[in-house]
Amino acid sequence: MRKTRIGLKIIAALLAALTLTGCWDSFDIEKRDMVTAIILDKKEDHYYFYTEIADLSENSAQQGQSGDGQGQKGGGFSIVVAKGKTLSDARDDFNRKTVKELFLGAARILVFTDRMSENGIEEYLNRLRGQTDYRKAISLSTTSTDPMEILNNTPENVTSIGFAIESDLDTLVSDGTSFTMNIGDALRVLAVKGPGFLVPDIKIVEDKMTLNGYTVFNKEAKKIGFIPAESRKGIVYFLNPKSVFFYDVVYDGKRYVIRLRLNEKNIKPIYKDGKLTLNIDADFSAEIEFADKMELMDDKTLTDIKKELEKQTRIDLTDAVNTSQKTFHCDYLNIYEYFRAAYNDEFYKLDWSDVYSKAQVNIKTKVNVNQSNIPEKER
Amino acid sequence: MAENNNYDQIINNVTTQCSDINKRVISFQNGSVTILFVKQLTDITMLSEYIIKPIMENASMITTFTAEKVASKIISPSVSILSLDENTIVEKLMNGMTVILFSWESKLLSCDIKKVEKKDIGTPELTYSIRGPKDCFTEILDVNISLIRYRIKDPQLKIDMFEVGKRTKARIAVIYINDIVNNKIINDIESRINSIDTDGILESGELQILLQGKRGFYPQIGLAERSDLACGALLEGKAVIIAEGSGIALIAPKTFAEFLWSSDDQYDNKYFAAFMKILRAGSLILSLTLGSLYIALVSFHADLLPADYILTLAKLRADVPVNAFTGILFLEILLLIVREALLRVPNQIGSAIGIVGAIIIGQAAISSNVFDPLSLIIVSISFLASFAIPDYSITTPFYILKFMLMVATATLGLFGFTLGICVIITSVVSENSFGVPYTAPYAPFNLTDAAKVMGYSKNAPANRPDFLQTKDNTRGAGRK
Repeated sequence: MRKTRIGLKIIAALLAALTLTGCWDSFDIEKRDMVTAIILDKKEDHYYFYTEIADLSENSAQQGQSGDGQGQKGGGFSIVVAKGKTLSDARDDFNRKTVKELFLGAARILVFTDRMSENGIEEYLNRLRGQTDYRKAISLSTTSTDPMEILNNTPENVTSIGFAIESDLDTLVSDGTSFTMNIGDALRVLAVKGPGFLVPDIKIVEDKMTLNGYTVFNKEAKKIGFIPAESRKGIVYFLNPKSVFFYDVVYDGKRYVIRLRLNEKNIKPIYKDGKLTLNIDADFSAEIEFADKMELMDDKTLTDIKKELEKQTRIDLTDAVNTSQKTFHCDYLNIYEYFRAAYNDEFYKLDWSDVYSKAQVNIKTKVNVNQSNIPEKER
Repeated sequence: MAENNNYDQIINNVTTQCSDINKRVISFQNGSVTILFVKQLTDITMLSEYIIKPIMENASMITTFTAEKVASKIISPSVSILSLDENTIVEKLMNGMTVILFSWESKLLSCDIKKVEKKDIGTPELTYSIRGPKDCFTEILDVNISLIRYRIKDPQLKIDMFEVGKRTKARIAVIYINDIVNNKIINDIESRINSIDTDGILESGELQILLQGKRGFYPQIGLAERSDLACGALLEGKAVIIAEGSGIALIAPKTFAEFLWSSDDQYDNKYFAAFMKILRAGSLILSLTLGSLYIALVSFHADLLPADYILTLAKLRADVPVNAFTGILFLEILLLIVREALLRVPNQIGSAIGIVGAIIIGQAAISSNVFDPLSLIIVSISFLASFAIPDYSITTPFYILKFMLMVATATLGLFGFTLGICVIITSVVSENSFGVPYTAPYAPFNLTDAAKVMGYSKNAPANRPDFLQTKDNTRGAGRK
């Protein structure tokens, strides 16, 4: 009797495990088509998926590109282009063109063309929210370059364009000179329904993948503008906590190249009588990287250079805030996070874009100059 | 003097019962002395030198002596005087004793001049140590006891003797240090030995099975091939059980964590020893789970891996016809076959089997795309990791568990893996070894004990672990 009960319990546990989980539908990874890069375009009322798919067969590296630009691109990857009147139709076309079941877990980059960005990417991002096989950490990017040109670009040392773009963007982030935006970040901003966001824009210049600038998306995830890479310093200080930039300072006829690292940034919002004041303090450490003549600076020179650097960083930060407030009327600098933390109830009641655009901004910067790079004997 | 009326009949009955019983009759004017012995178990030189020769030298007066007087005045070897009984004679002869009967006496003498062919004290094959002593137990119980006595000169060292097996009547010695060991453990061991009802045991492994009980999936008794290991266990407050005819002693109780300890841990730097203990635990986990994790990742949850690894893995497996589970299962079985074959074949061709196995698996199978190279690496690491465990008896149940875990993972993915791990942990935690929780001191957790067992050193002023509940828990303070 007891044995029967134990047997029944085991059978019940196994049945529960089999019916309550979806794990038993195993699918070996080599039997899937692995997407490494996706470019989404919209032209002539049709959505287009341009995808790079890893070719797992041994001799794929030797195969070249076929005439219509679709098929083998070589280097172990192939290109599949699908289109449809709706995103669902395009996906259906894509599924029909691929041989095996799709595996999106290996995708590294999701690129939107300018046409698609202007049309709006909210619908597609919301599709991704429900797709569990899509990693939410996939980097987003925009481009004005033709998708086929990007996919057929052969980067140095990397065979997959997906990996190459991701690597390019990640390197800039680790250098402290840019930031990335992934699907999860974008979905988080869209969920708040107020602020906008920036997406790095890439472009092929002289056969090289380049960070071109940043596309500004509003709260409806539609492109409302573009900020060139040259104007990114102030923006990066807001969006990359480990920002590092080089500044040229000419003082007393000598040129100093100074490496500036953001140490700390404090944003204190004060909301009173329907008016918002933002007090922004940024603390930097500066190091003399190069100079016409590497010699120890006297106190006056040091103070003057420090003041000059504080002025330049203040201008960069002010420009970044002014552009977002006055040009785009859109908080893509994530200032809403500080406001929401301090005034949670108010945040959901007011029109954040409007309040932010009218906010008074006070920016203070502090720079500590370090001369440790000056050779020992000069000290 | 009492006349022995049954003398001839008893001798006749005994010699006809067993054909290997030898008889030597020494006749005198007033009677005769009959010496019965089993030639293969008797030292013939001692028999003629210390028994036959003295009897013949005293031929003129021996017939006037009682059995007690013969024992004290004539016979040199150790003697016990017994009453004349047919069953007693046979039992003594089967134990290798020499029996002397007198035609005029109703008592007999049983002399211990046993001689059993034995091998010399050898070097270890089961528990090899880099630095530890190399002297091993032999198949002779008395030699094994002498090896322990040689190391522990404590009068509190107690040896309780038992006889197990209706037919083999194998002697079992339960050895412990009386003022350290927990009496409950000794009582438990001895009551289990007393309750054994079997026709015989030939090796300590059989005794181990009988002592562990019917379930006994995980070993609850440790093995000691070397006497230093056995003595170390005795000093820790454990019991050592030695069976006659076996060169491997048993140590009880033994917890799960102790199976991962090596005797070298006692002789090495204590920090390195602690590191090695963790490494061995890691090896056991690796050996158990690596194959299953590979199946889970390849067949169910590839997205848990970084994208670069997914592509590399998929490319490695692109032309492999079998799925991950079949590949891993086949390779595991293949390696077990090679291992089994290497155990059976003579040493001279062992290396050849290894080369053939390596070529078949490593070269042919990979180049013909039967398996992917990573499967082979996974199975090989898992296989090698199992050999990092000093006591092989703990690895055998884990071989079975490894296959069960693979089946569970191949059916239910990581859910099955987690389910399997939970079942294994539950089953291990539920065990006990002679009343000591099997997973002590980690479950139930005792921080002090855990620190003691992990950082054991002779120089540390540590007490014996509490979970053994010894009478005297002080080891000594090391060097003062």
